[in-house]
Amino acid sequence: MQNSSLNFEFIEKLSTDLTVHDIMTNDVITLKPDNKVKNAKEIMRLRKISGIPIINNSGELKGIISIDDIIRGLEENRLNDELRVLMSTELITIHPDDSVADALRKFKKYKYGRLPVIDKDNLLLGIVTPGDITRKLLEEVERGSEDDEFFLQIKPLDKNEEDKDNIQIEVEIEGGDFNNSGQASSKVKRVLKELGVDSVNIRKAAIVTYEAEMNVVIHARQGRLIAEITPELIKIIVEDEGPGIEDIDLAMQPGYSTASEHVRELGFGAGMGLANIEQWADDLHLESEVGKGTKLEAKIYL
Amino acid sequence: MKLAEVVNQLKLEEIIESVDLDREVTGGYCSDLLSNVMGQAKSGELWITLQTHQNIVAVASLVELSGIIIACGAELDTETIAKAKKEDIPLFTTDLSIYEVAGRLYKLGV
Repeated sequence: MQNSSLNFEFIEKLSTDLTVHDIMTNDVITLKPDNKVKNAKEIMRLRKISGIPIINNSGELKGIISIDDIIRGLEENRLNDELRVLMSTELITIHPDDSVADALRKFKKYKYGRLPVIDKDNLLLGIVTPGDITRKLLEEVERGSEDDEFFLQIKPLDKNEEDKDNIQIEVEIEGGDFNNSGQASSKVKRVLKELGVDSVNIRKAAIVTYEAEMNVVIHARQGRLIAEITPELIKIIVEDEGPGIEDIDLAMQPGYSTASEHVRELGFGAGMGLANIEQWADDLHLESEVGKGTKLEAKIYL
Repeated sequence: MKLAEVVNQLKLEEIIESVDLDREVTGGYCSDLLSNVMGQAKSGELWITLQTHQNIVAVASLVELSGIIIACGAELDTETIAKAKKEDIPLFTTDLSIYEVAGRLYKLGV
């Protein structure tokens, strides 16, 4: 199993897709404006929380009492006062339909430890903290791993700020493994979709990666597929350890095949693979050494 | 034409019940050569084939076909069914031949 590393684009995509509703805590401890400051202090101490929303009898959000307010209460000896006099009433709130990215922006801007979630009538629906976001993102990542979605390496090509749009995907291909064939291509396709590449170029890339992947599965012992994606192009490199190609020009001819009868029965080995790649890639380069292996490099310009 | 309508008209046997049949069938494609389908079939087309092994699912998924019809009463591998379920690819069988399936689809205006 390969290491998976997550890139910034992935997190950004998740945080745009997820809404505050997906991550908020619904079961919120609340107090009323006429509760005492000392009650709030005790609840915070016992429940280890750092802020409590204050709502009126109709459930409308009236304020928030935070640790800072409590400290002020202690200093000024106002523990027996009602919360309404100490609570913060200038609130930064968020709506359930807002994206997690919106929430992250607000946390960054206002430096609060929590945001009350309210509906259009100012009714308190829940609360969201940076911890909720981290937890949910981790969950999504783990769920993705279970689905075998992220057993691939996606990483920016360069740490350079200018190159942050460049992404590299690397997937191992097992020779002879017809049960998992197509997985490398599927992963590349998924990433291209996530990146918003248009469907025509996704299709081109799918054909090129699939045929190159199948060539490794059919002919080689093992290989790997690397896809580099920049705003200008998709570069697909498939390298293998295998028998190599004796005559590349002959191999490129449609209908020429060295595949076994068994492979042909599966609907492969009709001598169309390289011809397909040549037809759909904008640029194709093949290098091969008999007895060692083959390296294919194809480009699709975006 | 909606896939559900095609399934109904051709009396296809649904292999995966959970799959959503509310997708548009934009055309048909007949081939048993995977590279040929990969290179030439268009997204939304319904693929008629005799191939029954699991690689057909990867092809259908990559090309975004609207489904696969296995003709001539051929039996599907269990791995193929499992994979199609996972990838959400509609899979059907029929005793009709490829020629008959294609002919009827064409007549329906697909």
